[in-house]
Amino acid sequence: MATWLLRRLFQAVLVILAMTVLVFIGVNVIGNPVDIMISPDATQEMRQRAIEALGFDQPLWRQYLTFLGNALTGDIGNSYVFNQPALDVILQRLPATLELALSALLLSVVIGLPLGLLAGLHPDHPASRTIMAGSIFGFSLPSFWVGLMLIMTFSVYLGWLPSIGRGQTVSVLGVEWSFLTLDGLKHLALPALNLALYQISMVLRLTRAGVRETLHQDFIKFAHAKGLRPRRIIFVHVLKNILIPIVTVVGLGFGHTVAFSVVTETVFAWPGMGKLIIDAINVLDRPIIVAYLMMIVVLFVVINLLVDLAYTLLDPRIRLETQE
Amino acid sequence: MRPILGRIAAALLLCGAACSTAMATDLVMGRSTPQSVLDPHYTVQPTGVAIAPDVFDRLVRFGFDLQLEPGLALSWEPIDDLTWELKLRPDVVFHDGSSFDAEDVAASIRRAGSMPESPSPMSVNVGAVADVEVVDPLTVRVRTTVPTPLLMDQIGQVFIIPSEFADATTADFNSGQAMIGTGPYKFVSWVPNEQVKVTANPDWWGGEPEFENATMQFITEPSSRVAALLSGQVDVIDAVPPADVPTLEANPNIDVFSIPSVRLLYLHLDLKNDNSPFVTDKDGRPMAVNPLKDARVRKALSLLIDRQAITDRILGGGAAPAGQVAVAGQGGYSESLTPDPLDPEQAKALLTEAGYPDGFGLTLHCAVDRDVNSPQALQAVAQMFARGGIKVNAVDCQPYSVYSSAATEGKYSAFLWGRNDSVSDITLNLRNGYMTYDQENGFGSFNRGRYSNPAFDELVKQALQEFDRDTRYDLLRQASEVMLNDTAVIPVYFLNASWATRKGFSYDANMAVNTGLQYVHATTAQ
Repeated sequence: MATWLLRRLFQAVLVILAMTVLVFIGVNVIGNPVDIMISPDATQEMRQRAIEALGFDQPLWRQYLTFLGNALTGDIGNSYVFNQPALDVILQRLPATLELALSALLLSVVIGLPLGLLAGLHPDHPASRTIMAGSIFGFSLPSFWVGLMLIMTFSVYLGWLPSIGRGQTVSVLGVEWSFLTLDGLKHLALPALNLALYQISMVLRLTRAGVRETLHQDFIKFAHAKGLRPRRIIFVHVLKNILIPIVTVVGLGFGHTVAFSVVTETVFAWPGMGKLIIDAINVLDRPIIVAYLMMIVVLFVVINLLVDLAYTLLDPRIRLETQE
Repeated sequence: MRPILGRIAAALLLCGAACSTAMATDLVMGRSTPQSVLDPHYTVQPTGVAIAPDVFDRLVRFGFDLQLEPGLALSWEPIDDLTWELKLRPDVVFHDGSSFDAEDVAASIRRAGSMPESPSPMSVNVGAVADVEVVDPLTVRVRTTVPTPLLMDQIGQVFIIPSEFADATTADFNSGQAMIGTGPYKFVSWVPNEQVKVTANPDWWGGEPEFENATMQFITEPSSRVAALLSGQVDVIDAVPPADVPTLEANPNIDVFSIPSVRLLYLHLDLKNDNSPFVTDKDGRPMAVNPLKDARVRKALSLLIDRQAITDRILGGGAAPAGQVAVAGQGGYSESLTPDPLDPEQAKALLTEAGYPDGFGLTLHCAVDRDVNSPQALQAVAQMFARGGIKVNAVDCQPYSVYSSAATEGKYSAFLWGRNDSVSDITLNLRNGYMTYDQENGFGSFNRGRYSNPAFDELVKQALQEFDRDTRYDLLRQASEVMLNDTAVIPVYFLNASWATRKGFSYDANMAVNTGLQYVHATTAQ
């Protein structure tokens, strides 16, 4: 177990290093942030001074080595746009995105699993057919459009829910959370639904497929013959056996929503970090790009780790590494 | 008796309610560019400015005609070629109660020039300052390195902070600790990427602010911004997308305020290379001679563009045809420089005279995400060129990050560029954009096409040193005429700026495209 964890950690570090090299090369190929942001009233001298101050006149390998040296002491660099340590900028916005992503995760499981079970157990029922048709819309409609439609319906025409921002927040452990207030929940409802729509459809369809496949297996027939209650058969025996692909998809989906929920956060003006990466790339704010991608690598590594651990819980036959 | 008393009481209550709402309205504004940093000296980009003009004051205020008006400085006089004397406004108080004096001006100017880690520093505004001398608490002498007639346009944009915070870091501002200004609103809180809250400063020297509490919400997505206005979550928005202006105007609960702005979209042409990278002959082969270097060819290209059609159809009426780089009211504006009319016959004649009766091949470039509908406008321009015999090989639109670097390095032949110029005259606009590139003297730093005209250079050099306003404006007007009669660049259109409010509010549309709390007014009309 320990060696397995260490190996995972080592792999993560390698990925991070490779990623930083790619970012440096990529930014260098595009240009430099001074040319994008500098005032058109500046003279050549001011432009040159700004370029030198940021280190962009140095050869690329020297810029990279300076960065590595600073990174070893924990300093990833100050954002050029925010003039704050890049990591601080990201961590400031992380709670809002986490809140949104976790709410979307919750919705996708709470709505997707039961509906998928229903569709799987009674496939010919008109309700099941409607659910399956609806799930097609769920993953094919663009979330940008769905988000705007949700705003128009619930905020502009019906006036039930607010359309933008995070609402009232409460500070717990030094971090602001909005799901603890009613106002915050009202602000969370639409963006979480928008973000969850794709995941709901995925979970729904996977669950249904899994149920259809497992229901005809011998051990289910045996359980029926043994006289177990139908509820126990469904929720213990069937569910446990279909959860592995669902856990994988949910895990990856969660990572994806934390890292790249740009569209939903932009449409609903949610103050998270989704838009940070796109904005940083647009102005070549290199410290933010590097810090953000580093954080994403760590995030995905942790999620994969948890998913693998979940496998061992769900299926006792799975071992984390081959034992000789 | 009782019914009468009841009616009197009801009337009094109504009066009371009406009076209280007139005195203490709150405002929520939906703003398109978020505030990235609260430090008012870190950057000149709009992401650093945002709430600053409402919390801090500056030495001057810019009027609706872009001319300077007294702000914290009441008067300014050049006492010799290298020195300006400023007289400051008395009895001004900061939000923390300390009084404003010359020390604060000196500290602010020094701090604005000391942000080396910024890619777009405010040092452009204080670059000419050699020294700031405090003569007495209400008098300041600014010494410049070279004669600087435009000093007040430059240092007048520096936000004035208390001298106690001269060494404050950006983190001090971001935490709110150093957010002490003399402006009409006091800073309350900032949630990065979401909103800034401020409250009224009743002791402001300019009068009591109209709103008791104000919130600036950041909504970058245009459709969401409009939706937030429609649902009543915000009271006023900026940057209304041109496509939504007619719908909003038709809405009885919404008012739209539009004005042609100072944002000019124009075509830069490569005037440096003989073998221009994206100019070809009709068969697509590179040419040894660059047709764009011939002023007749440039004029012909300008005459092929139907500016009215572009502003009416592609921008939905949200723009105005442009004939020069200055706007009416700005120093350097020339009445004689009207937008070129559509004249294909004259264009053809000019092209034939220049030796290109069958035209030549050209690729056009623009930035894809910088101005609304600019790629579509460029495609229309391409069609218009094609009608005049020019073979447009491609219209290539790039993300701004790639585009700006490539354009600055001279990799394009004909490219659409956008520029704001919202100071009182166009001296710096002309110096940086069109003077012969001279690194040593700091001329032509953004002259991407490398236009070079000694007569023009001479006029601008004189204007740079001319302290008399009317003489300077005349020199600039002449320089404009020289440059545009030579078609150094092809101005296409000035974009409109639009704001929209809910009923009960109005916005002072201004061509400098300033979005701030002081431009919003509560109207008592229902």
